[in-house]
Amino acid sequence: MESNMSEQFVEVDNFGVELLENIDMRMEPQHSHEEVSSQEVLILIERVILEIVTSLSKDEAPVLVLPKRSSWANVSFDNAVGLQMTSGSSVTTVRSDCSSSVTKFGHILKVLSTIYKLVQSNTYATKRDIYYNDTQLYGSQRTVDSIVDDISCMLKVPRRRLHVLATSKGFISGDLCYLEEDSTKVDCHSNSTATPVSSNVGGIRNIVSSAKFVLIVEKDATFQKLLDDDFCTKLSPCIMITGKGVPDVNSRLMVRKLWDTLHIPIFALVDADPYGIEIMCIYKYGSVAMSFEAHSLTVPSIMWLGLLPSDLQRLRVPEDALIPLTQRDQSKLTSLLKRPYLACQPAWQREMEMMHRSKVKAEIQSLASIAPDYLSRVYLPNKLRYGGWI
Amino acid sequence: MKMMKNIQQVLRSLMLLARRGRERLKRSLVVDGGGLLVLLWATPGQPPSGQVVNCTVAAAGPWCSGVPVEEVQQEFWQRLDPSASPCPAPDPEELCAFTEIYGPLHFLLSLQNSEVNLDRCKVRSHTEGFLHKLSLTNAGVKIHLKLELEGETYQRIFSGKAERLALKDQTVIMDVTSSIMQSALLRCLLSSYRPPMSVGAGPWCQRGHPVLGAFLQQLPACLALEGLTCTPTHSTTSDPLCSDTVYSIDRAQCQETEPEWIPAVDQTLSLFLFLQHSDPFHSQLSDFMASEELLELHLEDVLRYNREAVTAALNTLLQSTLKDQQQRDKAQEKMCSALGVMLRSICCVVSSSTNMEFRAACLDRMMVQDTYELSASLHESLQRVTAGCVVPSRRCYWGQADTLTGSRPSKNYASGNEI
Repeated sequence: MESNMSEQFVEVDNFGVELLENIDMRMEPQHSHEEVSSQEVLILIERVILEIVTSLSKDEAPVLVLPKRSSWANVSFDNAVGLQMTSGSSVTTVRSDCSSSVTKFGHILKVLSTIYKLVQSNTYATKRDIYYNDTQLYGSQRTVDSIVDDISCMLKVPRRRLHVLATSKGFISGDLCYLEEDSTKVDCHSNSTATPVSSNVGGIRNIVSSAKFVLIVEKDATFQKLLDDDFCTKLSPCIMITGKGVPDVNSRLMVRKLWDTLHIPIFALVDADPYGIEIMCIYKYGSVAMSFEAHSLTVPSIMWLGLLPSDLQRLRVPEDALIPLTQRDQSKLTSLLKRPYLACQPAWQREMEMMHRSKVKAEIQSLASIAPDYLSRVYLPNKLRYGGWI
Repeated sequence: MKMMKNIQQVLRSLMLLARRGRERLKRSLVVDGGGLLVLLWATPGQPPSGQVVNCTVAAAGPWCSGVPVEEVQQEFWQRLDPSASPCPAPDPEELCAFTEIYGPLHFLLSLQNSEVNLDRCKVRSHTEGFLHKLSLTNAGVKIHLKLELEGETYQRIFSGKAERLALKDQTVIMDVTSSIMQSALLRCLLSSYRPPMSVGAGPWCQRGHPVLGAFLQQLPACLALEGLTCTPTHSTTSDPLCSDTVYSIDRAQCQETEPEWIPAVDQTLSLFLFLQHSDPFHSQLSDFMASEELLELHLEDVLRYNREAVTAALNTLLQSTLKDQQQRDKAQEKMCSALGVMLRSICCVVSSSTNMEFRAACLDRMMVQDTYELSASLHESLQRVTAGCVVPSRRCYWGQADTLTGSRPSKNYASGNEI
């Protein structure tokens, strides 16, 4: 049994060694942003306010200059980092003397003043708290979310240093214990329930784990199924995490934190469809919108464990479990194939071209058509045993 | 004043005849259709009559070329007030200048009335008002007015930018620069005319006389003008076709008021009701005239009995017409509201800062002594820099960061800009 278990992880262990030998220093945590002190944050905000007052003293309409976070033209790709915002990127100018932008100008100043008070008083608030503080002013939660990220990008300060937290969406389970910032002990070992990802990942300390790998699971349904099948015990020691679809920042921070602390292989288990692949790319290479924080959020060493399009043929997944690609899927696939990071992932490219040719996609649940517990009993163990990741 | 009524009657008949003439000659109203001359002059009269007011109405040009003047001279005199009498034509030189521009006269009528009390200003304003309205809806015709009263001469030409507008079966040449009505004209189709009730149709005065103009007086209360309050300010004569009912519109002001040094701009919106009626049995001028007079007499009742249709049409029209104005008002409100947010946020940071250098720099920039004065000073400055900016500007743009250095330095708040 023990030798069976040790054989189970031979490939994983070898891969782990390989990773440690090839760590690119550019992948290592960039501490400069994390080290921005509260005093520095206050000074940065005061600088913005003084610029505005100076403009008004000259009877000039104040403007705010925000880097454009939604443009591919503003990001560059680095194999060791992922998608990161370029210096000298194009900007959006928010004017105070224009009726179409004055509301946004006001919102930005309001959030800035709120952040100023939070940092000054060393208290924290979530984005939801900020929204509910004045729902009539902001109109929607999305407005607040966007402005907080704009301010974070404008000041080049991580959101958590602005004392603005976000409610976590993700869950984690497995061989992992740690302390929260307030010294609360968190033990993620559980057969039946998962632990919510911390809303203050930056404050986590004293991480203890003997996990040999981390498995990122795209969907909550799959995560729960693996929990029910006691996956973390069968493939112990390991850690399992899900962002429940497109991951929130805290889930991405947690994955990055695990990499920085444990330096163990991290595998992704996503649906064999364009959106699953895109979600995996967000964990691995980051997103355009958060490219200004790439160094804290990306884990370029993540490997694609499954579900691969080639697995569908290899395992002869029944045809009635396969779904035709929609027009939207095709467009997304075409867009993915043009992404800058695909150039350094020829194996991923081949899988995506296979999907493009076959014009079908499949969810992880399609493996249940082979056998109900095929995923946790056969597929994943074999994948890990024989190095079936790309 | 009796002469005014007579002039209006003459012009009404003339317009009707001119239209029938064009229909007979199968000629449409053209943009540059000719001229209409109205001369008014006073001569001393025998006591106790006071003065004699003389009036000549002349017309030339294609717009009235089909008027059978000789046939209807008698008809005209029958419709005038009995106190009116023919008078000699004016000095030929008066008419010469007119015919040189528009060609030979197709219509000429001179009449006179005795007036006991002649108010020169009232005559002028009433005549001008009427001719102005006539000009707006007959912009193809240039109207020349000359008044010689109490030793003073006043002349005016009514003309404007003419545009052809289609109204069901009719074409109207309107002066569209004088009104902001565009293609959405109100059509009050009177397909079924109900005679007024003889009892209880109201409103009536205490002595049982019908009170004319009451529908128009009550109209603003029925209109659903978002964010606007419509209040009648005054109404002129009881004759609906010759009267004005003027309303003022009050806009809700935003809490953060506009700077007082920006004056408000008065605007005028003229609303025309076009009435179309037909009777297949009409053939003589007198039939048409009688029909029109009957319609005028009962116009108030007609409008009142069709109040739902009239109100709905007016609402649609006014909302469409005032849409731009209301959008500007909303943009102004948005601006005012945002300025308040900006001011409070700036003052919050400055007030709560413990960075003496930062606070001093802010106060120095605005040349004030304390944060209270700073707030007032920032408020004034914000108002100045945003005054009048209610139209979306194309200056919200994105560009390369280094291209901003042309007019404004690129902002890198994270670098070492010193306070």
